[in-house]
Amino acid sequence: MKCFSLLLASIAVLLSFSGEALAHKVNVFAFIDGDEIQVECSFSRSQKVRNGKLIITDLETGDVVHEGVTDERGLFRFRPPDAFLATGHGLNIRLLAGEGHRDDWKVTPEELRSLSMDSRSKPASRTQTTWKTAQPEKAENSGEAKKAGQLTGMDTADLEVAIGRVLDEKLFSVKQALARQQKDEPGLRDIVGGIGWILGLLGLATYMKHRHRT
Amino acid sequence: MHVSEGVLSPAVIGGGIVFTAIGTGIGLRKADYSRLTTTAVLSSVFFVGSLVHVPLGPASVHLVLNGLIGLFLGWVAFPALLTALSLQAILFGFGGIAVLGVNVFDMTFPAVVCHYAFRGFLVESNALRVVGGFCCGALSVAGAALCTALALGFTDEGFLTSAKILFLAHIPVMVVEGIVTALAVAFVFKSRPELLRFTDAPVPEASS
Repeated sequence: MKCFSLLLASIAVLLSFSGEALAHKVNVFAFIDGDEIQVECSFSRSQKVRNGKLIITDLETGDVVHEGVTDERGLFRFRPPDAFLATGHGLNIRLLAGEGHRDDWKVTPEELRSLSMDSRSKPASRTQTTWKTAQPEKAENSGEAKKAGQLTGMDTADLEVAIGRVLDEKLFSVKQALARQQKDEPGLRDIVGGIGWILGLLGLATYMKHRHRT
Repeated sequence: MHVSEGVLSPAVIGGGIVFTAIGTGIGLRKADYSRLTTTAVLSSVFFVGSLVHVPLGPASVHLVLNGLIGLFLGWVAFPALLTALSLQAILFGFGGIAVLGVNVFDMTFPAVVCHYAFRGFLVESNALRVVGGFCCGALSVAGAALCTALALGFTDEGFLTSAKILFLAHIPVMVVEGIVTALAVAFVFKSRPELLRFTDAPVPEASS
């Protein structure tokens, strides 16, 4: 019994540094968060990829746009260079997690458009600050007409940026959940389906065998 | 142990396809069609087995079960694992279709070698039967790790680095697989001893 406990303890110690090579597959997914792209890498829902190598390339030309390494939580954040955003191309994010584990995620040009808009509206964000600091002074002059004046005084681009930022914060968890769902782990349907296939092949082989006899 | 798509060189992928095709051919020629159901059941066990995580200390291991399949099926393990790994690639996204040949060979060939090395133990005493089952389960996983490291050795990761990490990582799995295979052999010998009768091997006696 003592030997068995010792064996279990040794296995548990060995397991603490063996997790990554025991995984079946690796997952990478990414989404736009504010003016950056958040990349999340994991072997399973709970097992994150630490120090996984990321190579970000242009989806059309294949040129390397950015490179990086995931942190302890399997995360990596980056912003593509403005020169790349101006091309209107998409991105391919490749994760190399070692021991034959690799995965890709594509970020479409449509998704990147919000980043391009952010970069165009950067100078406008200063105007937004001015508007915010000017707000208390204007608030002194109460009344509907004055409020309307404040809003009309705000540039449409500033408004878009402000709304965009609030939406980004609110939608962060939704985007994360949606991205994760695209690379979900096997479910009961897949398992039952697979066993069904094997049984189907067994039936086919049995039929072929009996057909040969007759 | 499932190598992903796009990691290996075309030469390694080609080699894997050729070796797997040869193994599958031999397996189909040697197949005993009266044991088709057993083959299908073991193929299903392998298909599902890798989803079974055994909690062990702070982490968990998942079963490979290539040794168990190899011990019972011999060369027939090639078509059985080809089916199971194809379905895992299609339905679960484990590995990939292009690298299927390499993945099948990596997991099956060591199991077939272990089958011929340890099946003689199954007709001996109870103790030897358990030892044979344990060794077959454990060494099949070790062999699979070695074959995967060899395949990765032709990529930029290098053989020694890959072999070291894969071998160390799979030591706990080897122990668990050895225990599972030994228990399975002991159980099958008591309940269905005919499953351990190989057409080209000595017949075990159920009374021992």
